[in-house]
Amino acid sequence: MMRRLTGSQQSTSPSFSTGFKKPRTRRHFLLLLGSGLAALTSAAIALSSSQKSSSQPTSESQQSEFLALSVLVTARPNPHPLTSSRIYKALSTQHPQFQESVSALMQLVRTQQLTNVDALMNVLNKKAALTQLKTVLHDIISAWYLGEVQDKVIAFESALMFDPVRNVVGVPSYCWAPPGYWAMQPTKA
Amino acid sequence: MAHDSADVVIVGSGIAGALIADQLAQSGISVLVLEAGPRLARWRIVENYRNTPNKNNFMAPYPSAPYAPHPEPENNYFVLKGNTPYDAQYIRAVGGTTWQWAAVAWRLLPNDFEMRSRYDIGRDWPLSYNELEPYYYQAEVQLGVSGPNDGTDLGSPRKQPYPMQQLPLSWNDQRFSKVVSEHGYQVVSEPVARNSQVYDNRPNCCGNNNCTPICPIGAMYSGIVHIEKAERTGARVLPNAVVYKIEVGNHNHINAVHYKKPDGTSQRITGKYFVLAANGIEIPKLMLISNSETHPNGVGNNSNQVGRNLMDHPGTSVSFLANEELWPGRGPIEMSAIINMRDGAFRSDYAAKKLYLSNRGQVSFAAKMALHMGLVGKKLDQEIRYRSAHTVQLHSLHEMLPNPENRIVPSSQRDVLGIPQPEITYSVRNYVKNSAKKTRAVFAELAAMFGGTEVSFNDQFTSNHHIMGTTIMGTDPRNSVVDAHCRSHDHDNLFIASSSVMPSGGTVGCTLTIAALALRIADTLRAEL
Repeated sequence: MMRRLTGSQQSTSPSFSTGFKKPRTRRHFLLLLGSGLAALTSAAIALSSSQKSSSQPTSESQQSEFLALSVLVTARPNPHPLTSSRIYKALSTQHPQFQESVSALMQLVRTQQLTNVDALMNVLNKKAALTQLKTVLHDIISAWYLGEVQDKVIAFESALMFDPVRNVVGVPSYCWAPPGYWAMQPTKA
Repeated sequence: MAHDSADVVIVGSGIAGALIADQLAQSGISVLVLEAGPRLARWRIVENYRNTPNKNNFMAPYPSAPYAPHPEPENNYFVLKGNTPYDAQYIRAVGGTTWQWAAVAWRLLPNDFEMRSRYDIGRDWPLSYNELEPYYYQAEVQLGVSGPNDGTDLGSPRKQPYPMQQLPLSWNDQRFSKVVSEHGYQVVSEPVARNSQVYDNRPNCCGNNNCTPICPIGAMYSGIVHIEKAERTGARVLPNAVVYKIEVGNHNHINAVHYKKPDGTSQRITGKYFVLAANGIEIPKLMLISNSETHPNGVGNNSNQVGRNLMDHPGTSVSFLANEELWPGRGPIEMSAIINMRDGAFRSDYAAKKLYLSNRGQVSFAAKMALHMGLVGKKLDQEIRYRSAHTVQLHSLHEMLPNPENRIVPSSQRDVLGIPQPEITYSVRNYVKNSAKKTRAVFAELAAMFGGTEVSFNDQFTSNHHIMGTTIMGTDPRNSVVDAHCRSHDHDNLFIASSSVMPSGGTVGCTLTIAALALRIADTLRAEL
């Protein structure tokens, strides 16, 4: 008889309890814990400042900068480091100057003390010269929300597009409530 | 040797072949099922789905094997002709196409069996609804169908209640039903092969909202259920066995079938009876490529009807944003249908139809729209939530007439085993087109009931993957391929278990009818063996 598998028994693409990187700095640690968006934003800025000061940026520091940018533009305190590095890698193949773009975006965030993605977009909208950065920013947001980059699946169950609706609909193929849940009127929130 | 022969050799391991194999094995009859494709594991299909980038491609979790190809978007397995692209899909693998379907399990209407007598159009079946009715019930028991036992009249008379009570409707379905019924349409909860309780050692539905392409837990019926039962009872199932030739002997008796393995080597299997259960494209293809000196038009084709009369349920759709939160995506993907256009005198002039509400989640669609609008931050989240809650999608299934010009023949293009691919000529004509214009007006009316905005019609006819008519049933051997018991007119030991025998398609999916006919074939074979 075929073993009956529930959604929760499936082994998904790497789960969130694995692949957690040991934080390098205290600020990095705060960033990954997520103790409030304002704290995170300043953490993001502080983190990227510390990046700026190192003379030879390592791949790990590039990832940290991208993670910091992702925290800001997705307004999520805990983007998973593994998902982040996968998105980073995928977008790097799509955009030749990706690291430079990420750095440029974080530079804007630092110098203009931007605290959210709307503020960043306003800045980008003001100058035609920043159109390329705007495209990169959209692609970063799209990657996090859809969980895909150029027909490559990076995340599904954790894709951010499901966050705004997680208290109402589940992610397809993942059973998230007792049978019959669907008969109740969905709660407004 | 055990492998070379069986009393009953079945070509194809989908729902039809599986049911017959199980029935005959229970009676101690030796059965060998030859399946062109591989065995599948449910967990693997689920993982494939989760890792598929374009999740609207329901065939992506079922990669086509090069030695047993099936149609995928853009793999050009079908060679297409005619004015309507024929985009039907099926799965060549153990268990067949019902690994992924919406599990909607309707009976045909009594009048569907009498199109010519009643409406002077199309063909009559050579048997009546009443003759098939006991088998419809047996099929509902075998599959595990939940349906309304509250007196709702679905139009098809029944003697026993549904094996299971119907599943609860989602909020989306409840609101749709209430609003639309108030405007005079008849909305019902569809009978489905989906467990509303633990049934047949399978769990009840828990609302993964993923019926197509795959139910993660097997609450939805798939042909694999009866394959596994059949194997436990002693039937043999041989995957990766691509039957490419039916061998005819003396007195038009079928002697054997020949199959190829993926490495191209060939084997011959003999038997007393042969059942073709490989869907409405592959069955006629096999019969036509089995031509020989004695049978230049192919096996079982004295009527010249094999491959002809291809019918589907051409579908159109509409989507819009409703003026209230409906929240599709909670529970099964399809539960409600509008059924008051399934029958009537108008069928002399234009096609009958069934409309249904999609309950598939809209989050991915909403997110893509919202991102395309250039939104970020809170506005992006709010737009995703709004569209996920307000999007409505409605679909239609139109009946089609059997037209001999709509047909499948073997193509000159061949797959890696050298077996011809299907060439399909398919045109949707005015009987459907005129009806579809009326359908569009109904869609507009339904959208207006919900204050619909961003109303978007898709008028392009898509297949509903109900492949019918290509080995048509009839009383006259001059214009039909099989008789009322699905036995070939030309070969006394050849049966066809498939929707390909259906002389009319009605307005609902053909799976339950396939199952009923298969169970009837099993009874016929049992009586003769």
